[in-house]
Amino acid sequence: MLITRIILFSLFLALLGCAAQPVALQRNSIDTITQKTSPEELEHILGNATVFSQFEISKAEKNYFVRQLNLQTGVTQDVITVSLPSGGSVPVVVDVPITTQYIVIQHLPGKEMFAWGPVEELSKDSNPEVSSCMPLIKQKIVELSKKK
Amino acid sequence: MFSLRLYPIVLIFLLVGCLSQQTLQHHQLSELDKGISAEEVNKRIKILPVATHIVSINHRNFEFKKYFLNNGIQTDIYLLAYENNLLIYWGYVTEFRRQQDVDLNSALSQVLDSIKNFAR
Repeated sequence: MLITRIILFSLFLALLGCAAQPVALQRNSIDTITQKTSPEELEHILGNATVFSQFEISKAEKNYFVRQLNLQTGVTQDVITVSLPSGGSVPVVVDVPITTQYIVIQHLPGKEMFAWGPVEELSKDSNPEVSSCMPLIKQKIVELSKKK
Repeated sequence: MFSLRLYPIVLIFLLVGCLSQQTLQHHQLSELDKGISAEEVNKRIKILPVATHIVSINHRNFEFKKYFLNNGIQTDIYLLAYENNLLIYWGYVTEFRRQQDVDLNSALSQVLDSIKNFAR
């Protein structure tokens, strides 16, 4: 009886964890992004990944559409202790994803692919058009996160 | 008597704490931008480099500042490269090998042994 309760409670916690967690991009899905990826294909690739912020920027008379998501780079495990109504407690292991900020940039107005990658990679991109956009993008992200 | 025995342990923890403060964390890398000065880098990441190596090649002067980056399991050498006191590139040594500035790559080759052998 006790074991059944523990299992049910663990399942409940796992479901709760899934519901509350933002959805991160996975490497195997973004591997398919290329410069030729169409806007429709990109939407399909990004799927239901959580977009934390999206905005437009202008730089050197060019306009860009920027989205900030998370990329899952690993997983760690946390142990939480659950107190049982019948007394005592049980440890429950919960998987916690490790993520990094991931930026997707498209040209406007056509939404052609421009650049995509983690913030630190785009900041040092060999294409100056990409790396020079990053200070503005990072500033926008900070501003938007303060408003939330 | 018991508290005296604790002193060495406390000292070890303090020393470990001091060392870990000098280690870059991955999230700090997002603070870096091309073209910022060394002073601005120090202000943003709040860590001073472990060592600095200066190399001249093809009339270009490069400055490599050595840090240690905590990758979650261990610390690895992480370099910030400057030209005319402006940040031009940063990364692991392997990342430097992939970037496209040939002079920067040659400069790193000249100084890599010194960078690796320089004690922490």
